[in-house]
Amino acid sequence: MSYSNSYPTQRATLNLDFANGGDQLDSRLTYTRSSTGTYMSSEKALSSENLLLQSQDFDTTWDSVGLSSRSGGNADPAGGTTAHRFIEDSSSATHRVYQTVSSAGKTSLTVYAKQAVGTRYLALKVSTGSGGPYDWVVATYDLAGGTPAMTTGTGATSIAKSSAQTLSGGGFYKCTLTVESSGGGVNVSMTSVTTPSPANYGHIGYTGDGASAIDVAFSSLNSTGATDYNATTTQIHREFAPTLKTASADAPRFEYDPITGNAEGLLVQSQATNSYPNSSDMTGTAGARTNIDSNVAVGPTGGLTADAVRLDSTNSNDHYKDYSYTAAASTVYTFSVYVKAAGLSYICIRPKVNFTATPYIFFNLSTGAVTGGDGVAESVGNGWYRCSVKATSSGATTSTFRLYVTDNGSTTTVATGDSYRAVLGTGLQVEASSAPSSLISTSGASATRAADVCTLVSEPLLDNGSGALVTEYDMQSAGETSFVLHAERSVGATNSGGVSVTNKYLTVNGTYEDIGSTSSNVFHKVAASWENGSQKISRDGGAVAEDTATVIPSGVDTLHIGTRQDGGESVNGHIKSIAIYSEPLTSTNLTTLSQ
Amino acid sequence: MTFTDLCLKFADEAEASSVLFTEVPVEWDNTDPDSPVPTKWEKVKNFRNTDILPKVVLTPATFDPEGNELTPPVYEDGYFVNVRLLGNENGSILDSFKVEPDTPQRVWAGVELGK
Repeated sequence: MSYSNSYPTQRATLNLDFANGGDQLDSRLTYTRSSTGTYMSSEKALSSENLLLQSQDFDTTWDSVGLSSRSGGNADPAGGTTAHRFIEDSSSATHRVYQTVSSAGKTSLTVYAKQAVGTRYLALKVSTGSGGPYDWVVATYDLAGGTPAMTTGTGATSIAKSSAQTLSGGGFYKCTLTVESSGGGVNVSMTSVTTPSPANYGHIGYTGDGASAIDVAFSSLNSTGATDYNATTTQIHREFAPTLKTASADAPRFEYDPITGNAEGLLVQSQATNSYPNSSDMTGTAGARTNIDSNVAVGPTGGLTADAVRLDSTNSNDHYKDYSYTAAASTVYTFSVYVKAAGLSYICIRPKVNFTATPYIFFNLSTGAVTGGDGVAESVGNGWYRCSVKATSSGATTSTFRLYVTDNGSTTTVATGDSYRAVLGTGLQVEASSAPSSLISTSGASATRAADVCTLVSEPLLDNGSGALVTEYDMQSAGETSFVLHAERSVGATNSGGVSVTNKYLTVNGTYEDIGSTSSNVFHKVAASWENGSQKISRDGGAVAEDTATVIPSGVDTLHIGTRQDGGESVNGHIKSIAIYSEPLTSTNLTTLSQ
Repeated sequence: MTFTDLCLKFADEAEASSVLFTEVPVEWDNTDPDSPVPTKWEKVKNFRNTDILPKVVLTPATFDPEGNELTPPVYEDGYFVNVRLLGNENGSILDSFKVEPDTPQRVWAGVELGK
């Protein structure tokens, strides 16, 4: 037999392709979901950026004025020796380094600095608008501690701006200046006073003493407003990542693999609740030896929502945050969070309070490797992982998942608390499920995503008595009953009536054919056929399984896509395609079509 | 599609079930095809978007820095359910159970508190 003869001679009477990139539903389908829902889209957003060159090498590329030295090799905030020491000369001038850049939008300039000799301030300047003599914003930072002072040139008074300084590792301050404007250049200066002369391009001049010095490290300029650090040398850093988007109510969700970009089809999920009430706030309900820096980086949504969970200065101890919620008794809960390494490359998630087991589960944020228990790390682009752990609650009371940030994959103890290294996090979710569903954003209260409901009503297409189908799908929990599709009558429908394909069975009018367990989060292709006295099914090109007790159904007029006829037992996954045939197919056809 | 969000308070689970769910047969003994006998029943929602809340916290628990509970939470009496009523659903049976919490413990995805 030739290969082409393995295919059926008849054509499918219904062909639904949800993964053709068109992101449109066939007009014959009805789709509803009574709330918003999130999905991984095909769109990419700017995920991380640094527009400065030589971000930690201030004696290369950067121009300088009024400095007798700016050499490297000094202790930096991360425990390395990359900081550069700016020593002012004795001239009556400005004492600074600078470089010209091009940026637009919400521009954040971030520099780590500390006093080295004397009591000089740090000044950061961003040129705005056309970069004229009055188009600038300057912030000065007291490196002995305090609140930055900001001054604005007369050409930049109408733009929004902010500044902040936060004590970081090694006595350095993380100093940030943010402006809502395009920028033409940045200056990193030493200064003895806090207010620049208005007509001098924002520069602060004074007579140096030839000895005062500050140490400077890790500079960054970001057009998203983010202040996380990404090192550069001769090229700027700019990374894009797939965007986790929010679909409005009743809008279908067509998802894409965040790594390959391949279309995964129509996302169909059951109703689900995020029991954690503040999904983008890593502060938690308790914690120890950690600092939270809010909204410092772009998260998977493409917005400035990611917090840094940062070590404090405690050595030889663990550093964690707790996330508590009210649990039901004896229920499987899945905790999930989007995380990215930011100096620390590991987290550990532990079901801590009110669970039947309390393992320490470690996640390597460089490789995605999981050790110590039943956890999953899903890469979602640009170093971000969605890490999840499931656990069974004991009683109906407060439950707590604990998130440790650490620098190794075997213990939560960190030898050196350097106040600098961190893990970026956002998208906290706790749901009563054995696997994480799409993120349900919360702010102040837990939130419930309504179920996806997708149906096609057509007696001519579906009420053929005997017939066949081919479908491709994946599901998040293949160990649970999950309906890929269910074709059934609309009046007098039952869960076992009509024709259905689940994670394990082909059911025709109450007769089950077991095709064995399938795999979670893996796309499968199934081809099935039914007629009086025979129902057959092949999965992934495998051997055909057959039952001969089949009595064909009648009156079938509704195709439920990704759910049972009553909306229950959702596939909780993607449907790539469905083809319906009005006649039964041969075993050879089924084996071929399911490949 | 238009929605109406309802916060409902029942005396207990039994009262909520009697209003929000209907038991329907899902499997039958067809020994006598003319008189099939139901052998398995399931609860079916009367309203598509029905969301049963856990115990509603009046006063949250407090914890020490190590995460140990210092004081337990105080819960409100009652059994709480949210229903997002669809335009084609008649929710009049729910009228006597409606409550309007100042700070809802749970909302439907996309709803912003205070708006």
